[in-house]
Amino acid sequence: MKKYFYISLLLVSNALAQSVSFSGGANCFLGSLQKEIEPAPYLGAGFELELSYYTIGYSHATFSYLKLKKNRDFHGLYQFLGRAGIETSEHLFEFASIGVGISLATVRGNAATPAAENYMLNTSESNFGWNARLKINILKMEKFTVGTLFYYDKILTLPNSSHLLQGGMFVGI
Amino acid sequence: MGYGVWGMGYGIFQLILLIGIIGGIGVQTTFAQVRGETSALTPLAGELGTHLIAMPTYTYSRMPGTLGLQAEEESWRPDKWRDRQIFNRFVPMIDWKTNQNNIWFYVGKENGDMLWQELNYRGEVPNKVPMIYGGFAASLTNEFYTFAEFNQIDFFSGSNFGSHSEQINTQRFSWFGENLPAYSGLYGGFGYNGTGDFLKNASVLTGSEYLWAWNEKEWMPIRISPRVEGNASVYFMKSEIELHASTEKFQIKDSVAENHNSFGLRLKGKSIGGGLYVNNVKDKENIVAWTDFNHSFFGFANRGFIAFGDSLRFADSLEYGIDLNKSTSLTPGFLFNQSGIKMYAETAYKSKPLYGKVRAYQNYAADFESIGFDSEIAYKSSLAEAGAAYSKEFFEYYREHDFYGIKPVENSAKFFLKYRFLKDLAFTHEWVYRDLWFWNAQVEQHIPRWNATFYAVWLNALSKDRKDFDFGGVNGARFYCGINVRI
Repeated sequence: MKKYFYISLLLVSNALAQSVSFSGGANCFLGSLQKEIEPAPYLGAGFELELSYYTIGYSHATFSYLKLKKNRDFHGLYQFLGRAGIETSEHLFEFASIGVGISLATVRGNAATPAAENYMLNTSESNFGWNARLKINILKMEKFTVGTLFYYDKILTLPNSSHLLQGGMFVGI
Repeated sequence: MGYGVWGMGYGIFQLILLIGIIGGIGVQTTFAQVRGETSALTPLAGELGTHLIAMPTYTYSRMPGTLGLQAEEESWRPDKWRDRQIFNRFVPMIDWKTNQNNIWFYVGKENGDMLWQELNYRGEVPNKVPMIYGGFAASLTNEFYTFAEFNQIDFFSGSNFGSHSEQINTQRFSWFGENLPAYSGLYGGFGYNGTGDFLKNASVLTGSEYLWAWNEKEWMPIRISPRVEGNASVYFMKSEIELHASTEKFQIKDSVAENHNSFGLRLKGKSIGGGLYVNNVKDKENIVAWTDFNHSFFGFANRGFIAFGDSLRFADSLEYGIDLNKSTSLTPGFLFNQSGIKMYAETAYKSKPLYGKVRAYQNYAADFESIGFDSEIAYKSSLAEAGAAYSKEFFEYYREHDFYGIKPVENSAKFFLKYRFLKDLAFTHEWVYRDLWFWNAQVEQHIPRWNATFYAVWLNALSKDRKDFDFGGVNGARFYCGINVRI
């Protein structure tokens, strides 16, 4: 299942990329998950595509390895976060853009003990949610753009929703 | 909407085109078409009452009163017989007229896996399952094309997983995954669209399916593999003749496989047509031969059919259209068939951008007696579309109650609003009532440069842990997104 999904992501990203960016930063949770998961770095890549005079479509994927504060059944969690959405173009705000979109989080535990097999996290679990993003261009050169990128994601997990923030730098080509 | 991953070469893209050929029908994009079910979720109609279908969710076939909101009209349709009575399809196969170069891919999920929350709430929330479907159609030459589709819908599998796994000893009863999905199918084939005087189009499709069907007592695991279906249209003496044939190996798990063979021939005339469908199962034939007709005279419209099968079936409707004024019409009519009579009258108002319709009817049938009405009002402009529809049917007598205790849909309602923010960006949502309320929403972004359309769809039953049928799954919120590209 996952395999096919990632294939489709590749398909979409390759078919439609107009500008590509690479990013890195920090990943941190809000609410009760803060007590469970340590802040962690992320690495990401994305692309953007002009949709209209006012709007740009964005797509962004990040990968993180999360270390856990309390749980000992896992060494950590692999986390993939994919997003797609629509943001304002430079014709609305020149140096910054704000956008909203949908998110897909996939998490898989890195088992440390045999007890880990009793968790659903022992296999890949995924869920949709939504995100808001803020992008600020700091440096705009002929070929490169450097700036900061912030995301708020609300993943519609049960029994409670999960909220996380990602903030970092990007280089766009 | 798409997700970016690291930039890869176009070689991979081509490879993926070859492997990824994964099928389905996609979201309909026409006027307010967000649905309570995904488009692969189709009723097993042709029987009375409301049914949970082989698919994970349900839909109402609403046969008894018909004429209701989005009801299957009882006006006779040969395609319906072909697909459901003769070919006995749980899921419609590819549209045989597929001749556009298209690739489409959808992925969805029941909402609510725990993910990180499991660290805190282990064991509290059952697993939620995905669905995935897509396909492609591509021209090989001007006249020949190839197509394939894949479709697996795991929605609601979690709630039936226990009862399903008791029946089979493996968790792998699907093309992939271990959720024991209600339906999993893979098909591929070739087709021809010609301009010749004799042969108009032809196609052949082969594949296999896993599915679960409810037989009113328990879920039956079924494997249909291989299945081959061929369709062709030819012209003879200026009339179109449709030909269909299929053969399949049909096996209920752990029983002896049966061969099912079907053949159909349909003559499509302008005012009169007819045909023959033969279905062969275990050396028993089921044959339906029919003629259908369609005439207009002195303002009357007369439509109907006569069919001979294991029993005689017929329907005939007579309508008379009256224009009350420039924008308003009134159409009284009646319909009779072998089991009863329906009388109805419809008044329609059409003056752009407003449309309205009210229809009232009364049924006297062997199985039921009812009166009902349907109403619709809609506004449609280039910026927005909005409307409401409401249907209600009062049953005085309904035989199905005695047998299955299934409640007919007595009323249904729908409100929808579609708003176009920008030329290529539209937002649609609707509230649908069918015993419980659904709220569905869809964002649709079209990218003309790429001939692509992205969809994100939220299907939400506005009640928690609600089952429509004892044997069905629990309705929950589902989300799916997808892309359709003309290549």
